[in-house]
Amino acid sequence: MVTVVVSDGVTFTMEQDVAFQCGLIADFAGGGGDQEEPIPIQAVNSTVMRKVIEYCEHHRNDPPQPEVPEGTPLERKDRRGRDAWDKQFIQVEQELLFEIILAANYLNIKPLLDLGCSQVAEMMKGKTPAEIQQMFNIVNGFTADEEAQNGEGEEKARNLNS
Amino acid sequence: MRLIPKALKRMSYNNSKTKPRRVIADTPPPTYPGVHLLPTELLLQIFGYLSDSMYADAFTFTRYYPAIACVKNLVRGVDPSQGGLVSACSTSKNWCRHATALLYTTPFLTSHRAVESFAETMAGSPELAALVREVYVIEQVQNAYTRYSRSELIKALRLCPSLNSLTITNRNRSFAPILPIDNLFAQASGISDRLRKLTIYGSMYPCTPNFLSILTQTVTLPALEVLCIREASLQFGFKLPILPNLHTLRMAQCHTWSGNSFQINSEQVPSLRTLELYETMPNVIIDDGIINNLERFHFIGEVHPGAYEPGTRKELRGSSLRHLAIGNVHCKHYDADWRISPHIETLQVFASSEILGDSIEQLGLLNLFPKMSLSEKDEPISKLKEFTLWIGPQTPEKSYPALTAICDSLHTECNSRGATFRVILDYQDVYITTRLLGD
Repeated sequence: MVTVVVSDGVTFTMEQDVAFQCGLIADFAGGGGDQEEPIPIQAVNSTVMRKVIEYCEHHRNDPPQPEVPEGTPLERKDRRGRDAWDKQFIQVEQELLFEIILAANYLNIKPLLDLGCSQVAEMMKGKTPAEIQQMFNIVNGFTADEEAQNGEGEEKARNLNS
Repeated sequence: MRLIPKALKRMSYNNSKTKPRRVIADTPPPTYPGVHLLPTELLLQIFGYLSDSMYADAFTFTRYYPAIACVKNLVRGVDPSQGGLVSACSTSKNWCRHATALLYTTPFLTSHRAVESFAETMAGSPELAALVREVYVIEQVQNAYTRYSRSELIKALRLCPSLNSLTITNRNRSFAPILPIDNLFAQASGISDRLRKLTIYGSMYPCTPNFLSILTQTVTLPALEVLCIREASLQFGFKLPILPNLHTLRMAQCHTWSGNSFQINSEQVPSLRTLELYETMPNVIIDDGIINNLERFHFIGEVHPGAYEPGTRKELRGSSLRHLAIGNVHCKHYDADWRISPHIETLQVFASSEILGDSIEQLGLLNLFPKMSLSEKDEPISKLKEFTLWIGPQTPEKSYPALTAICDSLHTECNSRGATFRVILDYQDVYITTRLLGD
């Protein structure tokens, strides 16, 4: 068993095959046996850690994904990478979504990081810049002139790509 | 193609002295975790998904064999829409910098106007030209042969020092591409020594008078490593040029006229390690040198009696083959004698009952395995890790027990020879989403 303690002091104990899906924990534990001391995970809070553990438990029996060269035809990325459970799992509030992405990045869980990033991209698809700004509360930083020219350029680019 | 207006380019690559204006003046800075906290590498990963929409357009013309849909990702195309990235460019000044770089890495040129505009942008912005890695040229030619966009494209490609991949297709697939890859094109555009991947979409149909050689036999592309030819009608006598570094050849839905054969030999492609033939109809003659060096061999689609010359029916026992995929074969005519190399690691069989409406039994799939001996009795195939039998979407349920029995017996047989592997019997109905470019 592996025990971790997160930023708000909550302790989680999980089985090794669950815990070792986090590259950071695997590295910390050195691939050895049970850890006596709790591993400190200061960059993740308990709410996010619960979600991370839920993901790792669901995928604990997944076969290791081989490195597939770019463009390999037999790659079935959409089926292996994002199944129905994953889609449901990642349907969370925006704040939690970004926390999961940051946690996956920190803990080095590549499939979860991919899932989170692809979910953000899905949220952006088909939206205008203004809608994206509003959705993510982004300050655009453009000057008035630049913004006006953006409109023209965007229209051009959309025409070229349609 | 000027995807980004001059103003955006100035913002991205020059230091603008104008003071940024806050458009949403009253909006306080977000205090909760949000997109603003993501480091650049994660932002780029998200942007990468915006242009990562794939579709299998090589199988757009599947009216004869819709069952091929079950192999949906065998040959992939790329969605030409970069609309998501364009929106990201205009979302904020910070995003603009990153999204622009990504946008210009793989530009899509979808019209003559786009090619012309792209050439103009490349000439005026060396910093953008340096970003270009992979160019997709999607032409819109109806029935007129013109060299106009060819000369514009040559001009633009010459200015892209990092370009190493080129895809050329025609928006109207009834016509061949107007850009035959010949020495003049390769040398004038400067891609001769740096092109590593080339994809050419030809035409499914004879398209005289535009029946051109899509890849001339004399073209010099010494750096080319991957060649994909899709939906091409290969003219009489078509031969591959000498490509010393080509390690991967993919051909999908290629046809010859009048049953002419198509040769692949080790003099043309001495480094070939991966050969993938999908619904490729001509008689393909593959010499011993190629067979012995192959590591990955896919051969999927309808195979007519005698379609593959005896040269293909070699014993693969002595080869270095590690990955073999076969499928949708007319097994009742199928007399290839596969003797698989002991190096084999993955074996994939794509079956379908939809061809000609036959059942699995009528197709003779049950007879396939007795003809396919995995190796000699005394040779262990301990490297075999995965055997997949992928069933087409219309497989009748009554065939399931027979298919399960095939898997079980193969599993038992392989286990007795030292192979431990997973059997994946996939009944899942999987279709491609077919999309016609521009139609």
